[in-house]
Amino acid sequence: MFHQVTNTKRSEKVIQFIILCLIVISITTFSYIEYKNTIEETTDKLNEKFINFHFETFSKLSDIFLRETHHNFKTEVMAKKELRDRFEDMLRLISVSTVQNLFVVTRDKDNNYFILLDSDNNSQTRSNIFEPFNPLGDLWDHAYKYKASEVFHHDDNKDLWITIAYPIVQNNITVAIIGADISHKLDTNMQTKLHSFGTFFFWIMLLGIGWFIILYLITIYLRQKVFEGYIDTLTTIYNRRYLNEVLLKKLSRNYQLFMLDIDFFKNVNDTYGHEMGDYVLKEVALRMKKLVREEDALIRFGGEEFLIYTTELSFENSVDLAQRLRKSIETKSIKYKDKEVFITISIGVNHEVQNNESFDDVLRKADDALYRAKMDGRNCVRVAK
Amino acid sequence: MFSSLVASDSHWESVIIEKMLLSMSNDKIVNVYSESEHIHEVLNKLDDIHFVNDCKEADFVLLDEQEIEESCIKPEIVFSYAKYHHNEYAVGVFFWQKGRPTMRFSAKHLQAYGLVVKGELSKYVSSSD
Repeated sequence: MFHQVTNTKRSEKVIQFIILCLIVISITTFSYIEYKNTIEETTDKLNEKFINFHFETFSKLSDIFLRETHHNFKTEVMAKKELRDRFEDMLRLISVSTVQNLFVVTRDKDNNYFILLDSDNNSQTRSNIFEPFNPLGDLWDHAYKYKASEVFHHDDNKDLWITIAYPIVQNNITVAIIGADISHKLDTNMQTKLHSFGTFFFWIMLLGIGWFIILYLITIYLRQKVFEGYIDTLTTIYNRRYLNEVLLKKLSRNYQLFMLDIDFFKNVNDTYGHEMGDYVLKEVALRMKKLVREEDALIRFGGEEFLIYTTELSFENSVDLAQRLRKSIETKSIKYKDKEVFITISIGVNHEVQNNESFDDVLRKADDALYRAKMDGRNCVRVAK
Repeated sequence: MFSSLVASDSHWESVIIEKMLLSMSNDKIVNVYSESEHIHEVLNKLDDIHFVNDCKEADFVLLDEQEIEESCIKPEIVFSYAKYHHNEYAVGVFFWQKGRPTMRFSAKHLQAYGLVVKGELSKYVSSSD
């Protein structure tokens, strides 16, 4: 796992993180939109039911009004105060808290509307009988003309939701209209509950995303800390601890080991000082880093010794890689401040790793090959036998 | 004119009262007399409504709660249907009915003053009041 993690570039981690965040945000947004749509659909259905409920109530009320006024509803109501009082009591009886105004209007001979019945008990706001009523729009005329109930939605009004005009039809003539101004109150109770749940759900999701981001950042931080423990601070390549704690647990069945050593490195330190020596180590590591693959491991084994772990390389490719490594150091001098040195490296390659061979044996063989390279005049590659 | 129901507010009141006055007047500026502070507040921003201090100089009297002296006989606009019904000088009324701005003109009283309601408000003239 660490091997994989430590081989992942920082930019790739950022991209992974952004993609994960986008996925989570997309899912949250999609869920929330779906939820809102469901609420709207549910609310629409509730509203429809609510309107139908009023239609049914007004229908029954209309039946009662007509049953009690056999001949002419309008004339009898206008003439009989007791009848008006009883009918207004009935209006009050069916008036629920969402109903702001509940009244009955009719028209005079000039087609002007006036109030016939009013459920309002408040002396300040109650309409007196026969007071003119301003119909405002075609709602009432339509109900009168087509003998059908009409609903007007007050989309631009904060206090009112709808006005219902329900015709009272006697002998196939509209004689009056039951009018109801209905606010959102009861209906919004349900909406408020649904919206509260929606908001709660949304915040839970946001909290989830927050936790996810925090956990992700903590994980990255911890992995970074662990990763830092496996990195040589001077050369920024893997250190020996990485070899022992990570690589040895993940060895491939078919791997190759390269032991590399900087030739006459002690002379560099003695001649140019440790600062130059450190710079040489860094530069050599950097050049080698460019030649090894992402899945390979370049390790500072100790001092001026390096180890390269590769997998699935043929013999030719192993030798070719070793030669390219050697040449990358040999061909170009290393300059630091006003100093310049030509450096070479010797490489021992253990290509043929046996199945039952321990890592120490493999390492020893690579080391033997390196020793032969040193004995053969340095700046060369030798393969383990 | 009224596309939706509105609660009582001074904006609507000023628009409607202005229309009522202009619909009965032949002049572009209407001289009105009122002792009501509320009416002054509602109408004082209108350029075509000019408040006069003497009732006799007014074209119309706007009568809210106050009474005016009997010597001033001018066509009146009142703001309660009960007052309109029992006032022989009231040519028009404006009031709020179930949250709806409501107006009415009395054909009989208009005729007594030789007034005519012009334009879209003529449909609010009632012969039965």
